[in-house]
Amino acid sequence: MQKYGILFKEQLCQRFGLVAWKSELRSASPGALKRLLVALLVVISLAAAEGFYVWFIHWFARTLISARLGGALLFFGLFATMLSTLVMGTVMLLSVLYFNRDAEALVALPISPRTVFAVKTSLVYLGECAVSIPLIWPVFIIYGIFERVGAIFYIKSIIVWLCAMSLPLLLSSLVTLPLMRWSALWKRRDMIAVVGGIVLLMLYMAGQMWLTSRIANMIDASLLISFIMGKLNLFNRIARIIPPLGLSMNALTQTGAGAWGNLAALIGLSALLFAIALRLSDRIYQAGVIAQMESHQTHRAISWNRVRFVLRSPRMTIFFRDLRILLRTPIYALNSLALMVVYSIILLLPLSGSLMASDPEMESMVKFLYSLTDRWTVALILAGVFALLSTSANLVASTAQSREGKQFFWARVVPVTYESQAEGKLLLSLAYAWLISLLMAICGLVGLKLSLATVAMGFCLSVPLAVPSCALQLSVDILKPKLNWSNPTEAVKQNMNMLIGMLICAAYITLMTLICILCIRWGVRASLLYAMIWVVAIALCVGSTTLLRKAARIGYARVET
Amino acid sequence: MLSIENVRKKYAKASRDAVDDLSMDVRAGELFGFLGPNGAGKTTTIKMIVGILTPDAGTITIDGRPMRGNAIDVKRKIGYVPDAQDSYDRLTGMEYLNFMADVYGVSPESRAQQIERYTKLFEIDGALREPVRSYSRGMKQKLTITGALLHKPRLWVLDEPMVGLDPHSAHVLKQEMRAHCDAGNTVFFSTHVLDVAERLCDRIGILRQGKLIAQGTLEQLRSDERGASLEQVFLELTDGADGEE
Repeated sequence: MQKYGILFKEQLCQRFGLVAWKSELRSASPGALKRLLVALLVVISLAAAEGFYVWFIHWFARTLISARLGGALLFFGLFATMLSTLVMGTVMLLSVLYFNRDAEALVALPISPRTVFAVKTSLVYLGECAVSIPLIWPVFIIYGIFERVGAIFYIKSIIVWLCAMSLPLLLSSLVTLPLMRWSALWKRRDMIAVVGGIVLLMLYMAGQMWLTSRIANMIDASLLISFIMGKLNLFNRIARIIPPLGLSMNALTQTGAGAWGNLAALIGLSALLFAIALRLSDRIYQAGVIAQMESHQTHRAISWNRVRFVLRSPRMTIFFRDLRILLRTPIYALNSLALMVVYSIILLLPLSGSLMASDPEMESMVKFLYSLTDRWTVALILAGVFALLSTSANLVASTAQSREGKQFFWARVVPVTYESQAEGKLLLSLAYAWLISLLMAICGLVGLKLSLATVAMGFCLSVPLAVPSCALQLSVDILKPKLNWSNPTEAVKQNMNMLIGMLICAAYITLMTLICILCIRWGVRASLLYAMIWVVAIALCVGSTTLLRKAARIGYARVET
Repeated sequence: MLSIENVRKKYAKASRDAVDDLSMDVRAGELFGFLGPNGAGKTTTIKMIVGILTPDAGTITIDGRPMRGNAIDVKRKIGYVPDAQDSYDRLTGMEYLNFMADVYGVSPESRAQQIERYTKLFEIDGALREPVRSYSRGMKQKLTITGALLHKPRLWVLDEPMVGLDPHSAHVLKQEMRAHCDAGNTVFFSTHVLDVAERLCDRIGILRQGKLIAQGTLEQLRSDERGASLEQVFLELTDGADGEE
């Protein structure tokens, strides 16, 4: 237990840089104040989204509770929280347990594997609890207010929340522990992880879309109630299949001994799973960590006569190096490829017979597109959509420099100008964005059944439109990269530059849309507007790449490792 | 070949300079050993020579040209081997070497020759198709050395190059270093292995708390400190040094 405390404190400091924060705050350095200010801004922007969520939950709760279906609100809240903890928690658990830089060092220390496992899992648990607060607590509080429950309900809610957060993580670790030990024997385990991740994401999306397509038709409260009434059996079945969900629901909705019995069972189940996970970790966690370091070596002799060498330009060299690293690091590959899958699915949905074919919003959007007789207008809309989707969550651009991590020093050693290095990275970001656009164009052709000429026009315009967004996102990451990370997940998932990149993209596309709307109101013909946007996009390409080169000159020279 | 004049470097929040008014010259054809206790500022100096760090004051000149203002040309003349094996783990050995050859603009013919020569010499030619992360520490070091020498740089800057190398490879490297200098080029390397420095170096510099406290040939250092071996000279000069690295 003492070692648990020591290691937990160390990991907490290491993970969140607490000591550095404390010392910076004590000295009130401008850097610390700036970071606090940025954090505050992020909180404010997230608060807006939370406000909308609370409003929705309030509306949902009023509708359900008036029909005496309050339990359904708790069901949705708990189910969504547990599901997201299972998905996000598994990713985090894998990265901190197996891919952290300290994994090897910890194996060598006289600390039992179960202690290391417990500390790392606790850290993920804490993080997931923090993330779940804005998701589940509005549900508890709004339910509590509408049902006029007492303090006991909130005490039970705290216990249920803590257990509901721990159970998906523990279940995940029970699967992860043997899987990681076993998968270490696979030669192509990274590829399997990426493909498996994408398949899981597709399943997750399919389930979510099914639910959304059903609820989207039920903005009318009576329809929503009748739907939920009709599905009560299904919910009960889900609750039976997932016992923690059923126990949590019963603990919160029932009263008296029944409620406390369910609560006790929930706590008991958590404790039991925790004990099993600890026991299992003692046996196979360490072996799994060590196995990740093992590799298949064939050591085949090279026949030098057959090796062909080519000389690439520095930009292409950077491009290919980054591409290889991107595709071979599971977390980068998964996040970038997943986006392509998501967007393709979205555009293929209108195909008849698909789940979302009956989605009214999608239907009205498609109808609107078909109602436009002017192909220039459709091309403009498509170009905007392609550019927005291909660059809005473009981690290839927004984390390009951060992904260098400790290898950044090479950038300062090699005889390649900082501008050329940045351009190499921009090329990869653009290639990725254009690939998404192309994929969406193909999906648009198949899914939306638009004419080839229109889609081609939209795609062509999206090519220059993507440049400023990528260049600006890349500039931000070059000026302020997050190089100090202990596993690749941190470089992309916990990187503020990704969020800033999204905001830049949103602002840029909004601005371009506003220009288009204003021009149309002033009577500018769509064909002329299409040509004008080309000119504007090219001008912005020149401006943004100039800015990128300037950012590279400043950013690369400033960062010292 | 390498000239360091009044170079100073202080890290943010550090109480003292990591490198304090350092001045030294390393001539062409010279094998220069850089010694010092941990935290003396050896790696900081090397990082400034190769351009990873920018000096707060002073000038570093390589082959008559200062790094500032001529960075690209100057970097082409340097082959740098870092102390930590922070290489690209997700690339294969061959991809890494090709990357290094591309950024230094090595022609296909020359790189084929150089890669074959060094990888056979260091006995890693059989592992070139494997990802770097599957390499042992020593293999990574050999790969990094090979990558640094592909473009036939005039100045080799090696930070603890012997660490992790097996006796055979260490011997090969020492021979290569000597041959490089005999051909009129320069090697600047840091080491903690005093025997290597004693047997290999033309001149030695000893750094302590960021200051150069002695430099010269082994004989000059011996006569200054009246010591019999480099170890005794080193211990006498650095006695009481507090390592903070």
